[in-house]
Amino acid sequence: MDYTGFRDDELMDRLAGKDLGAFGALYDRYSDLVYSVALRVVADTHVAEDVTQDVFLRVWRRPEQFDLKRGKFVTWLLSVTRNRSIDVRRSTGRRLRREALPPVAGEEEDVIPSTDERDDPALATVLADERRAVRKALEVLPQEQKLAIQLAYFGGLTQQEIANQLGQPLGTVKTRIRLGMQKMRVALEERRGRDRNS
Amino acid sequence: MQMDCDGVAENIDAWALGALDVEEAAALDTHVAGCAACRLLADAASERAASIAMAVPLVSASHQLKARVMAAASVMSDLPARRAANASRWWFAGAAAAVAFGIGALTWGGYLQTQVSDLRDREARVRTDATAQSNQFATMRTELVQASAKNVSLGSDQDAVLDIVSRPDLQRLPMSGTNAAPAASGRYIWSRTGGLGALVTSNLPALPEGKTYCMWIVYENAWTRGGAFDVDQTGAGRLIVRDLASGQDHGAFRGFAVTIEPSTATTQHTGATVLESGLQ
Ligand SMILES: [Zn+2]
Repeated sequence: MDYTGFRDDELMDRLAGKDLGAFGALYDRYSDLVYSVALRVVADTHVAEDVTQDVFLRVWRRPEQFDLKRGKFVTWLLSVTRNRSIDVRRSTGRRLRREALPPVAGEEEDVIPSTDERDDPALATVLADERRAVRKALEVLPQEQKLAIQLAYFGGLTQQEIANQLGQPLGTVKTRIRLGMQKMRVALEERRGRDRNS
Repeated sequence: MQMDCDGVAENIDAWALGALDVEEAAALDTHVAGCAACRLLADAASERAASIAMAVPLVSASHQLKARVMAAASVMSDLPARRAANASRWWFAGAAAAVAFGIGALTWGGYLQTQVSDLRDREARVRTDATAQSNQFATMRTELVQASAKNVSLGSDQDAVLDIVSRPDLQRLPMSGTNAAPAASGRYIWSRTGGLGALVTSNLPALPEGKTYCMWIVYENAWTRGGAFDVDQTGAGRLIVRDLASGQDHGAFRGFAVTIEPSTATTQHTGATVLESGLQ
């Protein structure tokens, strides 16, 4: 069975019927992304593989936890991945110091994944477009806003912990996060507007 | 702590980034659960936060990981849900066995055929018989289902089992009860190159106080200890055996045996054999 033309939510519907092929298709679409996010948080390839396995097996066991009404599949998948990664990182006592955070979007050239055996070039293009847009949006943020956002999202730190770590007042950190995310929103909405008009 | 719509609007991005402290997050969750407008805000903020994840430098996951995940999913799909454990246990085990032998075996076989060519360094070793392997895998899964239906814990052994079934030299040996335990039976699945095996037993007699079952790898000149295990009320037991290839010269390999031994760890077999693989 060829799943090339299936939307993510259609594949998820098939998971309810324990369709292993549909599961394999979802894995092919998103395993690199899930693995990369996990790796960014836990900074260890073996641990990142374990997280990736956990995340996909959770998708397989409990597909009903995804609710299309509340957002896209990839959004949900990446939230699950991020949260699981942070849990694992906390339980293994890994507290990455600020300077130990791996490089981030816009700070280094992207490693292009091998697409030769991925079966879905159209989807890969959509994902790549979306990734490029987010990276552009992040690029325009002032460094201190970007840092606060990354320490929260990839570092698993609360605003108070970020304030402590940076030696800044809590209010300052809150403002940086709020302003940074607002700019992200505007940048992403502008892009969506352009997409609709083009 | 309470939070109103204004409070949610102010904190929603920090919440989506996971940066609120526990009480703040709980207050926001409570409000959002009862406020449709704020739920829309929350969903949008979650999407923005997840989009940050999309910007990470992309790194390819290994092919081995896919094999691991697919094998685990395949095993899991046959494990009974908790609620099925008490009601109609035997019916369930039977039905699951049918699935594992029929549809399950086909699914797995199809998957293996693509995976085998994918995994085995592109070309060589295509001689691996995917069909035979899938049958063995289906059997193993059936036994896992039955073992778990009998409330034998699976735990982290699942990883070892997955490792075993992904080996190209997977072998499956039936084990039968001796005169000391005529109703007993078992299966031993093992990979010599992987140094890994999995034993599943049924209908072994209850153990006397202070005794345990012990599994042995039998060579011409020595019995080497595979490990000890207990059984439940139905005589079901499981054991993962590691490091089979000890590298020592014990003479020709003859088979596998299970004996009853004192619970204190022993390296010599002293008790009567209750289960064996047909020693050569
Ligand atoms: Zn509200």
